[in-house]
Amino acid sequence: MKYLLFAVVFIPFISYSQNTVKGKITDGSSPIEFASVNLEGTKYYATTNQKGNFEITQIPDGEYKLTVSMLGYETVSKRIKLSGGETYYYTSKLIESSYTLGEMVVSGTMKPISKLQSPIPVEVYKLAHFEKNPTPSLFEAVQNVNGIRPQLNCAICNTGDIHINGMEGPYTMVLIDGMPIVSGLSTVYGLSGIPNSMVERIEVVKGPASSLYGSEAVGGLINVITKSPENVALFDANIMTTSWLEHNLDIASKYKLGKKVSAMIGVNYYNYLNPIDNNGDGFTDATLQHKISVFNKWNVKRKENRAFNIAARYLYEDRWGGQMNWTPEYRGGDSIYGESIYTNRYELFGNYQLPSKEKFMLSFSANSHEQNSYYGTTPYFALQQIAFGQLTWQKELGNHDLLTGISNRFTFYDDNTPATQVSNAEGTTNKPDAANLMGAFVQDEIDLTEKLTSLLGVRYDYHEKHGNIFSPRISFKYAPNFKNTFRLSSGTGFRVVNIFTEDHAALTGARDVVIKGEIKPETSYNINLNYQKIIKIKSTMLTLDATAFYTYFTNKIIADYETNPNQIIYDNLNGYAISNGFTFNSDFTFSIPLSINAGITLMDVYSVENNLKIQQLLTEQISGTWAISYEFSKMGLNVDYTGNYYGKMKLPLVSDLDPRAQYSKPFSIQNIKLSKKLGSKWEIYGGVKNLLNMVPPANSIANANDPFDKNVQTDAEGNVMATPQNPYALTFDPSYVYTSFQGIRAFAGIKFSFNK
Amino acid sequence: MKFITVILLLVSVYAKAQINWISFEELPQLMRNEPKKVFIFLETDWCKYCKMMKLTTFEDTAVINQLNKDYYCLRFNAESKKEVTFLGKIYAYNTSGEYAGKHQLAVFLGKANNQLQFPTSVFLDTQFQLHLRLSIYLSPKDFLEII
Repeated sequence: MKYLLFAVVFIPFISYSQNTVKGKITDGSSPIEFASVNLEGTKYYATTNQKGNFEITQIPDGEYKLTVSMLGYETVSKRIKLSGGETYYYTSKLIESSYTLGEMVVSGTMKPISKLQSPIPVEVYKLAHFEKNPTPSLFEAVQNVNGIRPQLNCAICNTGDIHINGMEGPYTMVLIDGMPIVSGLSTVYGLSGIPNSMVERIEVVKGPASSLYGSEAVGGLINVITKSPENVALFDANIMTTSWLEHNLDIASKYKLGKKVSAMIGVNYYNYLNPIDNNGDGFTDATLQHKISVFNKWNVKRKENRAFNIAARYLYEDRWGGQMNWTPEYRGGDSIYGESIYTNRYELFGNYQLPSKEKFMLSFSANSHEQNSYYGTTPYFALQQIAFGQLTWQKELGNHDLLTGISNRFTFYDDNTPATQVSNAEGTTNKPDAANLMGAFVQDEIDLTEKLTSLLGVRYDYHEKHGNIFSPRISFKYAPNFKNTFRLSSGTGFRVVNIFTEDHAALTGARDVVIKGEIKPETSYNINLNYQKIIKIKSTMLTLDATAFYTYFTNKIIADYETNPNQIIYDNLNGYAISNGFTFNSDFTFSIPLSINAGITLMDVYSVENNLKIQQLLTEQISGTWAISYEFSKMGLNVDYTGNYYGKMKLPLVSDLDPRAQYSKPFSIQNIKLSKKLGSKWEIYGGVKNLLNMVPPANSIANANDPFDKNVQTDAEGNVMATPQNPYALTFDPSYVYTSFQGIRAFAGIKFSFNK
Repeated sequence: MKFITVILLLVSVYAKAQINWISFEELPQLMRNEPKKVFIFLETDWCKYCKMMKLTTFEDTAVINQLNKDYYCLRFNAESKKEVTFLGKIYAYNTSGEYAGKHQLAVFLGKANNQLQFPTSVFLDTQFQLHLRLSIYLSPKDFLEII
């Protein structure tokens, strides 16, 4: 009844005002489907069909605002007036809007660690993970990664390398944006001098990676992924200082060069010029240094989104450590001991996609590393220059993803040691090393089923001295669902050892360097098995990740400190060496802003020679890392508690009477950080590093009171004798070092980020 | 007998409802036949909260039922290298310039305030108009409030 009344009252009104709006929406050439045509504020609307046509009927008389909107196009609107049952025709050409859907967004805390889906296990660490314990460089930051240890090689000059699962620095490759910073001389410089604000994430592969990266990096690789210019703030600054007066400044900014080139520049400056000797051995506890590094990355916009990226970096560093009263005028002299290193390093690298339909990519890098140094009275002047080029071709064929390429690497190396000299009847002449290493590789990633992926690769290198080198790689990934992933990867490694560029101990201290016979290349076989499991516990996600690794070296060049305390003997291994172990990581993800992750690594690294097992020096058998973070969202306050633990390590002694312990005590470095956001631009932070004030014993430097061994007396065979002045028959040696002498200290900093 | 019961229980657990994810290529025809709201989930392989949502929210029965009833659901890996056609346009992987290493479709759908973050949940209405976009972990409870 009610409805009838309704109909009777309104039918005359509706019949008198049936206007229609119809038309066509195009992008100028072709019709746009699914565009939405609305009369604003009413329920009258239509959606365009495949031909771009629309029709809205039965519109009462009146004035309306007609709006046409479509994802990816600018919205257009027009005021229209309808009356008398007319049909209004409307056609419109929509203009493409910039790539965006509008600005509606709510940001959340992004979880800083995860793993990529590749058959090779890649661990991904977002910058946030490293900011939990702020460090001046990524070199120190990687201490927060389970299984990775930045190792100091020298108590005085604090030069270091990065150990991955017990494998030393030269087995690790450092890349920036996937472009190899191919370098023998101090790979660690790849990790210093990039302002943190320019880093998006760090990818870590433990064990042999893709064939793409050559056969040296059996330990693993660290890939620093920088942000793209559009993703960094217009201006970013971060200044930090500690109670030891270690100052660090990071500045990053972006700019445009014309319409096609977007660029970002970052500057890092580190300054520590405040000698401290808390342990009273007469030597600086931390190395004094100032370091400046400038990093610039250019992105060139090309047709069809083809890649063209170039990056350049310059680094200058002046560091010294030694007796507290050392000044540069004592450099190289024998009155006051100091180790002083000046480093000048240039890098240029990039990639260019060829303008063809097929995906050809040309990658290139060039670097020059110059080191001018004195270790006490021992000079070391070295220049290493490397040019690297690689052309790859990627092709997808059904379920195959093929990658093939060729590369060449030219290395020039010269120093003032016998390593680059030739001696003959006429005397000794300098003969720098210059060698090409040509390579070719092919790799196929095959999706065998939806759940099983394999990666097969083989690499061939031709070395001028060592001939043909084949290094195969094989990996499998089996993921029955996203909660369970198994990975198996295996490969061989090949490496030519350069003692002086790799082993800092060869230069420092009083030990004589003895190289026995011709040093042969190292060959190794590696296998890694990884299992990742995601478990749901109520609303918490627990990610467990376990890896077993095993590497067998048929030859390994190991510095032998033990046969003769006054020598370091380098020799081919008359046996084999093994590095194996087990890594376990756990990560809790809560729906509240709490995050916990912890990992433990157990490993055994040793060599077997004449049936005798020799433990690798300075290598722990157990280590762990953890990070616990909580965010008080309302206050904008973050609390981070990070720490690591290292078990005992075998250390090099210099004599049978040496009073120092053969093994280090287990130790733990723990840190706490508080940070608070002030508005959208500012953040202040502060905290305490090394809460437990863990420092190595004060007598870690052998014979510290006589660094030039002036009071050391030797017998007829050259062995050091115990004398009243030198009761333990010591010689000066700073290589007994397993962690920094820096104890507890406070830090504070300010971050500023400005985006117009 | 017990064994069979266990098997049946297991089967019933595994046969539990799942979100009916569709592809971008299927979407236009479905929208022509029966317009529905659209939910697009942007993720990356390395994004942990994406996994967390897959584990909690997208396995929640109420969420699954509601999504399957009222929405066409799509998910997209922002670092995928395959070309995708969406609403008549072709989107490819960006190798250079802005958002290098991300797929243009992810940039198109997910970029806001000059940033692209993961996970991003994009909700469109039946007329393909942006209804809501959130770059945050959404618990089953949050998610149900939105849909």
